[in-house]
Amino acid sequence: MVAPPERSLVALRAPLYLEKVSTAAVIASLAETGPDTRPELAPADIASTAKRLAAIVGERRVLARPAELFTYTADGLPGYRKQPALAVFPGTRDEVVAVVRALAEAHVPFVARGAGTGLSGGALADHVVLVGLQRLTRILDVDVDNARAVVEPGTVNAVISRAVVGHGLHFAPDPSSQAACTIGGNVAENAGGPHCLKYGVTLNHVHALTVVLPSGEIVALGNPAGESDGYDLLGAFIGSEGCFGVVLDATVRLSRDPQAVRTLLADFTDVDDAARAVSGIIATGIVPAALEMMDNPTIRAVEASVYAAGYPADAAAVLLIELDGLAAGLDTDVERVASICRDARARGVRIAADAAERARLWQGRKKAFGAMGRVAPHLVVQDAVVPRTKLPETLARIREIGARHGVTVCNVFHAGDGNLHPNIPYDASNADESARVERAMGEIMRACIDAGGTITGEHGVGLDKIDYMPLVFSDDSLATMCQLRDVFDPERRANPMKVVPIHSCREWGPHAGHRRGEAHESSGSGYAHDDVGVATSDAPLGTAAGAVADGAVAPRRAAPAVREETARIRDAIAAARDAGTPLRIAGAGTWLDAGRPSSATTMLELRDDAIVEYNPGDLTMTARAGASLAALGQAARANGQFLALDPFGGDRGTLGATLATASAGPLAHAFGTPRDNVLGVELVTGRGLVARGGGRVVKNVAGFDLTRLAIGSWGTLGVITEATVRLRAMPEHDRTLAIALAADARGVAAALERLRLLPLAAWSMEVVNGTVAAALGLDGGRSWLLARIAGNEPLVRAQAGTLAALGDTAAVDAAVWQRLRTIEPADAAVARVSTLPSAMPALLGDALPAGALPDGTMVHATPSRGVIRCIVPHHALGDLRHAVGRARRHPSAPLTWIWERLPADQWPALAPSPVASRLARRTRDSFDPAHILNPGILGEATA
Amino acid sequence: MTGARTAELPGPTTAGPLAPHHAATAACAIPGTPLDFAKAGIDACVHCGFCLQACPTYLALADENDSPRGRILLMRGLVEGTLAPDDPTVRTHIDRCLGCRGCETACPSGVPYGHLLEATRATIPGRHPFVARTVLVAFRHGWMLRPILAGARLLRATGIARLLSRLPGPLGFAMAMLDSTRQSLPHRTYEPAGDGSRGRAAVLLGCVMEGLFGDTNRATERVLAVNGWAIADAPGQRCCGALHAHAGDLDAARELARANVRAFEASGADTIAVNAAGCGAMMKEYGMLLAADPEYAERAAKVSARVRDISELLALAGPARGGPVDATVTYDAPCHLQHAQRITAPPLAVLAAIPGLTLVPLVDSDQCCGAAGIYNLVEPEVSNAVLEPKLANIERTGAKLVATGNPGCLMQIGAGLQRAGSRATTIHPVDLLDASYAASLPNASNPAAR
Repeated sequence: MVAPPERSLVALRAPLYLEKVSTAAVIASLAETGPDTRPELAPADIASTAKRLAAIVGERRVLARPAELFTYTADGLPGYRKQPALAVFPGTRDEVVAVVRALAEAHVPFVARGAGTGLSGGALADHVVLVGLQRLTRILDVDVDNARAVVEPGTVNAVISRAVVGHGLHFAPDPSSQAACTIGGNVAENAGGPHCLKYGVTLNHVHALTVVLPSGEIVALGNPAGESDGYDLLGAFIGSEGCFGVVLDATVRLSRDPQAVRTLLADFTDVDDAARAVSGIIATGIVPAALEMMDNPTIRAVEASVYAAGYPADAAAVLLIELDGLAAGLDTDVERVASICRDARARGVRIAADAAERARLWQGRKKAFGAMGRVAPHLVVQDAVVPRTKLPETLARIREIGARHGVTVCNVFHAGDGNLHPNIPYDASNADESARVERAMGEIMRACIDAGGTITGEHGVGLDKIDYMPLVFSDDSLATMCQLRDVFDPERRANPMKVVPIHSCREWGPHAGHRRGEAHESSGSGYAHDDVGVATSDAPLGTAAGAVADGAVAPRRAAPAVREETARIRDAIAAARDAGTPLRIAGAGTWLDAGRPSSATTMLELRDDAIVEYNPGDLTMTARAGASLAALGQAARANGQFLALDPFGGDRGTLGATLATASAGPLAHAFGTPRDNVLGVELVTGRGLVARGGGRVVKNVAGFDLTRLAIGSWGTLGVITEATVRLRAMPEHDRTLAIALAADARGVAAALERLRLLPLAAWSMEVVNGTVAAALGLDGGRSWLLARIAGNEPLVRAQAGTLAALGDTAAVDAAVWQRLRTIEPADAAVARVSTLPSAMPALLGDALPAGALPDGTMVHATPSRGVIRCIVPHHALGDLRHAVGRARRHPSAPLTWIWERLPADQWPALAPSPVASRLARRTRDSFDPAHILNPGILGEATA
Repeated sequence: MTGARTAELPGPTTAGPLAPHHAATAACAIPGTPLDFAKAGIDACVHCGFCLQACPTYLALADENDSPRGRILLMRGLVEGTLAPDDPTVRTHIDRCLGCRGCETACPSGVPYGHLLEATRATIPGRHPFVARTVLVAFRHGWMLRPILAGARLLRATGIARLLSRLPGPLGFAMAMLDSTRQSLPHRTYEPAGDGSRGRAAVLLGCVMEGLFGDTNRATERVLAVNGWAIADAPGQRCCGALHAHAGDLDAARELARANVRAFEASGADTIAVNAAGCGAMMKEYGMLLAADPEYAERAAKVSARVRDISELLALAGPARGGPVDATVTYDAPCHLQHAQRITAPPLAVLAAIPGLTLVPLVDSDQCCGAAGIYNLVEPEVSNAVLEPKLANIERTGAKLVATGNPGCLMQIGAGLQRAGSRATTIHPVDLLDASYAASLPNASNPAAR
């Protein structure tokens, strides 16, 4: 057992925001304090801390007695109990900030908690201060027109949807706990839910956050009214499990209710058949809104409860499938799905006849976890993800593991994305059964990792899975995650001892393992493991952490083998650091003219253009950064699939360049930008570490989000050497229509207003001005709307009809999209202006008509995203500043300017650096302390 | 790997949440107490937290100690020995529970929370203020209760209650509660024409109902008769014992239960009609309350099986349509009707059958009003905090009448409306139906609210 701490963290230096201390110095000082000790609020300091906090929130809102804190010792997982030293409940945003600052001054660690419904022990405070946010429940603003809302962190997920239900809107992420869980928690865990298969996870539904860092500094992440530039710190924060700071408010994206919904229940006599049906459905290109599977033990538990949904109690498995979207063509998809199920030997396929039946079918699924509680006194649940194609064999292995250990595994899970939730009900007071459950859980996790999956799809790592992290992430990856954490919380006071077993970045590396109850001894396997091991030493029976500690799962590090080129890049960076020579990451040399000029002259090329792994059945592809998008597209097309990355600016671009610059194209209208399409990256950081973020499965919340951080970082944090992307199946029909818009401003604005209200599910929707139109071969005298509609026949036909109401339509060749992406002349200046979608009609009305902008300016826009792209020819550059100035005074919503290309001398005057903030600078310093990667490319002041 | 196959899953016909394999086998720190016997119910809780948003005290106070999940954890602490039975924290938060059982409706695991709460209160009795204790004693003994209620009626009739209701604090509120029991619609008695073909029904007269809502009890008898029941007397009936059970005095509750079992057995009625949701819920659980009594267990179960809420019976019979009642009404669901008895649609069916009546839906009608028996006397602050949003929602409906089928709720909401200066008043759904029947008689005038 570890000896109690010799000194508390009070000995640390002052927080960064009070003193200008560099990250490096703080990290060094942490190393100096010696072997890490469990952070805690020293008992001697409890009373004084309580008094200080009571002065902020009132005495009633500070709990200090153990009996009062007992309720807060557990979250959604009954197996873990951690006693907080204190609990404080601020009631307003100002109180939250004051509390965080008071804790910062006293260097006290803390844990933020919402509703305590988490399933990874993330909201447990082990002898530190618990900050409960459940009083911050206000919805601060609802913008129906732009489908966004600003809410406080304690707002319950379902309450947001309830508040906007009258406007035909809802908040899409729907974890099963949505009736109780809070937005702050959803952000912390990057929560998913059954409907995330089609609609995405919390990451895809948050525009901006206001956050108070553990130091007390308040920062704004993301952009509530336009595109975000600079590092995707918003993406890094979402899913950081409370380790980076406390959310003060969130600007969330609301989704329009679908025009129609159909819910089906298919039952099977064989689990493999059900799994095959799942793969079959996904392969068609139909994206169900939800695709859930439950196996027989789960079905029986549900049917025995008051939430009986009418599932056949003798079915080996049932699939609950929901399809939604435009009414046209939906029934075609429903029929297709039903026949796939029947082909997979479904015994019966039932389609819910009305809203009541639909609610009942879902009731059974949503309450399944609770129904398990009726079966036995205790329950363990896991959250592993496997590639979809591996579902049948994984389920078989789980069955075998359960049988071998004599435990009943109830599987209820999101089959559509391979996210499994094996639940094992048992009686913890039965020591033998507990031990068997523990071993079974460990083996199940191992089986999922072996199948190429990950350890957590939506519940988070927290406390419960912290010991599995080394099984999926290498030392370098974990160290890089530590370095990311240090950007936000160098003192490591926010939710300490969670997610990444942290020692100190410098000391991270193989060292002695630790078995429960025994003194330190070397495990001999090079198993990197946190010395304090709070997760293992105190791990209750039957938990994942316990399984690893007990040796039930042989510790095994994630394979550290790297490809030759990655090694070459790593060595080049190390050499450059030693020599102090900055590097210009040139990739394949295709986009060297993008962005600001970099002061580095030594080129670093990426030549490896291989496709490393492609599983058409899983719709995922892993490729080296040097691979061209064209090559990837070709490989995907051969399997009837495609990659939804089509950046403007050319097709020669590589995967690496596309991700590093976060470039988007017309398909972003339906499929989002690179950050929404990448599952994982390999990043060689400026420190020469080879880090991997994410993985190869479509749902993954393991560890901090290095993937989002890498995307859009323009090579200043590291070199992206490999990425795993998600693919989509090609549609049955794919048509592009061109609709002529009016020539005058008023007409254009009116047409675009009408467009906003039309029920459409287009893949691309671009508005182009006359100059662009002419370049595309259309009549250059007016502006045009280009719409790409795809799907089954009725769906395409209906949408074509809807669009025809806007104006004269003409069918155009799909090649127009390719031409659109490559129209810009080499010496033009390119800028993007983004704003709220509601402001687009008026803004475009002003910008599109002939004569509105300098002659020859190309303008095209994605109205749904609120983005207008302007390509200004060389000869008009003189007017540029004037035009920009005029546009900036436009009386509409706030405008965000992002420059893509400019003459070198124009940058400083027109474009402030997007990474000038303190947080951005600290990020840069943490990942590339020597500033040798692409220095100057983001306009940052060279240190 | 051999080993007994444990955690056998139930088939579709399994017993309730307290099936044998749930029995907590760990040693109990408070052996022999009512909570010890009930502790298996605690194990059904999976900590999911769905109950939090269904709990009025959690919504009002935002402390997990005042949530069902939190209170279950406190109970677990008592059973494990982590918390002492006389710990003030435990007592405070258990006392603060309204007993509305809204959590049971939200719970996916079927935790028998109401049962656990009663067992816990019986294990650690709360320190009730004098008034509350007096009320419990009075309700137990009819000879004490009748003069007290007669006195109350006097205060009401003379207008003294009205006057005193302006006082601030709990006394004023109690007077407002009393004053609000005045009937909202004038009662016209009539001779109900019914053939008694549905059998004999005995009505639970109750304490507050007979004492302060006597007209409603007569209306209940009349509407039952109109809809085909013959009324049977059940002399010797007593207070149902709900207040005592909820407060943890299970001995008193059992004594009252036995008396009622005898009285209703003797009545010879096939159906026992109850127009107070709290009492109906209690009587439906007599079987469980007396399960350990060898003499009464089966008899109590039989009596329980015959208990029906008045709205259930009326919905079963239609109810028969009467004359028009011109009123705008909103319906608030009593906790012991919708959560404890799981009856939601029948009262709405009764109201919908009244011609000319405009029914406006009430937002959050499934949230407690804060009455909860004697809770408003024991925890006036929280009771008021819970009542406030209810009053605001009622205000928004614009209704003049708030219909609810439980005396505690009628008085709590009635008092709240009066002190807020609202023109709305409370009314039992049966009174509306009765007025409808009266209006269908010749020479009837259309009853308008007072």
